[in-house]
Amino acid sequence: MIVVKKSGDEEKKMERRFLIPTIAFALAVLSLAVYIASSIDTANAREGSVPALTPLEIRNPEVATKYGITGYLEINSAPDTPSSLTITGNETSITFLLHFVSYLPNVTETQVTLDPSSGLGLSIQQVYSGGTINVNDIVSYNVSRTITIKSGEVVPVTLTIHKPESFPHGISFPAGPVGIMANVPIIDNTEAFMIG
Amino acid sequence: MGRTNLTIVLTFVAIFIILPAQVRADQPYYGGYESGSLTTASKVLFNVDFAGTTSSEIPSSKWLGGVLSVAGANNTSVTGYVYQSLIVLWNNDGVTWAPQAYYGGSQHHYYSRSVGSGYYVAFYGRIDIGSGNATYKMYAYPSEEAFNSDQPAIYTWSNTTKSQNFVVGTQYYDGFLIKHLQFGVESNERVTETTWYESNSQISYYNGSSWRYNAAYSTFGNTSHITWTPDGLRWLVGGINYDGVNRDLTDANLVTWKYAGSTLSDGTQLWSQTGTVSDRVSRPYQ
Repeated sequence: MIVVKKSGDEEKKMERRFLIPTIAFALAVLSLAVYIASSIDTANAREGSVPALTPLEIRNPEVATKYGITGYLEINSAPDTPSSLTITGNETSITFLLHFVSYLPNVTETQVTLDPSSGLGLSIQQVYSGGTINVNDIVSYNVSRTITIKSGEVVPVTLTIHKPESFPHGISFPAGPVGIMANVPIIDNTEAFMIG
Repeated sequence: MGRTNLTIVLTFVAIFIILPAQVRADQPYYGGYESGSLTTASKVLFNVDFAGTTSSEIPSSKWLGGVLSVAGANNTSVTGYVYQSLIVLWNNDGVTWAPQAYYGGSQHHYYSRSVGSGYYVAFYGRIDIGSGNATYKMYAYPSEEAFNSDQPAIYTWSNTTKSQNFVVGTQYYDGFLIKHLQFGVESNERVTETTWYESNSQISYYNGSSWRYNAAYSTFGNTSHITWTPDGLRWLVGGINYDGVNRDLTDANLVTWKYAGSTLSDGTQLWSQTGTVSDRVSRPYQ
């Protein structure tokens, strides 16, 4: 058997011969990839998406701040609030806890407006066989119209439900923090049903 | 490793570094849109029903939402605002209503509240606009008795806005079909653990004299362009497609979306009828 052994110079020559086309091919592939990537980038740069957010995302600063959210106002019922309350006498009250969470160090407080008659914020109506209960018309808060809540602070506010003389007996209706407005998202966790 | 091999490996490493960098963080959405020529509207409405879904099979870290989305405008010129009524079913069978609006990728206003449970017979979400306010309404019917007697609990949430009216129908912008009134299903992450159902019906807009609906077609979440902003950017609902969503049932002004594993083709006609809405209840239309 005859063995032909290439010298070291020949091996280097062969490698060089293949090296140039390989580099050219690699550069062509890279150029194509960059072109495709920049095309995608251009298309993406000309469009964006609108999300649909739940409290899960609003409470997540990594997600929320992507959409320019600087913090949120969370409203809970006081811990001892039953889910169903019967109005005895002329009025009854529910305490809500307002909690402001800031995502930015320079946003240290938020202004909150409480005005059930403003037409802004939450309104609640319950339709029943004899008509409609407008909850906003029969409630009031124990605090002034505008309050300031600092980041991390929990402020209790009391909503009093005044029972009109003509109020239907035995009708159940939802109650909640009506007429509350803030310049941050509001997460309303309250759930209370009143029975007139 | 020879230099040639090294070059090839480095090239592919570069490709894999460059391409994933273009991926965006969006939400899975599959929807439908009302066809027809561009027209203005002051109110839009839809009905959401989760019948057939076992909520306990939805992972607690995920949610299943029915969403109505509409573009804001001043007369027929879009403002770039998008208004949404989101109705979400959770693992604990709770239902949250979350009205919200966006402009240029930023949230403009937001509110959320529990409005019932998955066993409720009907949730109607409505959005009104005018006099500088966007007003969102939720009509929750907890039982057949409440539905048959048309006695819902009505939740209203109102905030200021800069659009005078909505636009519905479609038009082309920058070569893309813009679908101004959309309805569909959206999640934070695809719910693939259960065969879920989410029905949208009574999708309609108020044109000043009647509640009307048009023929409707399906849209992927990556072709769901709903408006554009003055800087020329187009805006999608969701942003990525909710793969695996198909239609279980369609009728005039009704579609039941189903997670089936197979995906309904983009642009499929959902119904061909056009007309005035008729319903067993009247409160949501008042």
